[in-house]
Amino acid sequence: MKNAFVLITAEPQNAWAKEFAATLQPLGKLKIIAQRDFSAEKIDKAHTVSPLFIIDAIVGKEMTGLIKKVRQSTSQGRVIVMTASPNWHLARAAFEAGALDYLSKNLHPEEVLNSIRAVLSKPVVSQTNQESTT
Amino acid sequence: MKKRVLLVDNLPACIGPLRDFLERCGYEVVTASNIGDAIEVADKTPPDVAVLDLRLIDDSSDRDFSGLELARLLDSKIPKIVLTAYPSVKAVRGALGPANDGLPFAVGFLAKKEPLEMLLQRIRLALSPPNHSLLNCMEAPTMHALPEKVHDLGVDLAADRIRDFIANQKRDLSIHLERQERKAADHHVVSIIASIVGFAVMVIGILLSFWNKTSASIISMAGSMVIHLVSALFSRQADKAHLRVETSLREMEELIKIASLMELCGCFENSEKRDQARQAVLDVFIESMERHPVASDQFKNNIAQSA
Repeated sequence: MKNAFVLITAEPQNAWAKEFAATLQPLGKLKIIAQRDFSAEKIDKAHTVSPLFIIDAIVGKEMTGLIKKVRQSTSQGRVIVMTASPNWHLARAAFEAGALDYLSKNLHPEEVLNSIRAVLSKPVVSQTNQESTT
Repeated sequence: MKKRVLLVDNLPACIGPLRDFLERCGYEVVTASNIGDAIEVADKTPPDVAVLDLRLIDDSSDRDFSGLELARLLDSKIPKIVLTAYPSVKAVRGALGPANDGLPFAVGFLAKKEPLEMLLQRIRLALSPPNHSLLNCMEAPTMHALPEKVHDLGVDLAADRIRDFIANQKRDLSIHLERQERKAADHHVVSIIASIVGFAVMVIGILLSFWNKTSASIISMAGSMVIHLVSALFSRQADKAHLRVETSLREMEELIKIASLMELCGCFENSEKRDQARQAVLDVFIESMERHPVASDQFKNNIAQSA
């Protein structure tokens, strides 16, 4: 079964987003949506396969707020964060909010694909269980 | 019983202040300076939480992630917090990312230059289970998701739910308080009776010694000592129960304070101001719950134990 990806970005017209869609092609289809149009409930209902959410170009409290919203609202809210300017404070904040990985856009595409494969292979557990195990 | 923290760092200069700080905060601290020692210490005295330096072999090498190797080797049930003087995205990903068969090695990541209170907060969080009663009441998946849930529900509905939660907590606390008070009183009575009996036996022993019945006198003196010991034990139990009552009272006071503030917010005629005030109270409440995630699950355990 093909995977579904949703890229939530502050810059939907960005050339990188289209390139990223091409990179992800072997793993599944990527849907790009603007941050302002995001509604996790709508997306959850629209997809039979629970998508992997990728947050791009959103930082600080907006990033952590969005991660929490996705995790809280969708049935299997898996999130990873991509950024052009990685820093460890934001990486920690992303993981603490519930992101499964934090990737730099500067990584080689194959490395990005491997990391996403690793996240996809992770068994999906309910969020409450996950909190109690971590 | 004190919770035990395993502290692993190759630099003794780092271990000393951390150990002093954690001991002052009421933890029992065991230490190790390398992977082998740490595994041995953890086997002998299993810790409740482990604080691991990231670079345990070579502090100058940015490839030294031996702290994560130790995290992998220690029992997976022990929550680990990674501490480093050299924080980086790679280190954060290594500790909190899906490196360990899709699961993170650690529950927390801190730079050594960050305030010690942050370490304390992470340790408390690692040792405390999530407050399921509050999460169920708010229909939130995690404690971190609570503020967002309050935002989604709207202040009025969230305030109603928190009010229900507080009412339930107060009821549970009252039951707990009553039982602890009864227990304290029972232990106190037993302690006094044992003390009186002990005193009477001692007097008998003294009288017997006057009548030259030495062996009987020794036996009654020994008996008196045993009874006094029993009395002391019961007295200690009574003190412990009193302490629990005091803690419960303090927690109840905090809940009543929040509930009263919530009621006061209703006095604002201007709905915008009322919502702002309620939001502020809810923020304080959620923050205190994240700091001390004890509440009802813990109380219920206490009640079950004392029943």
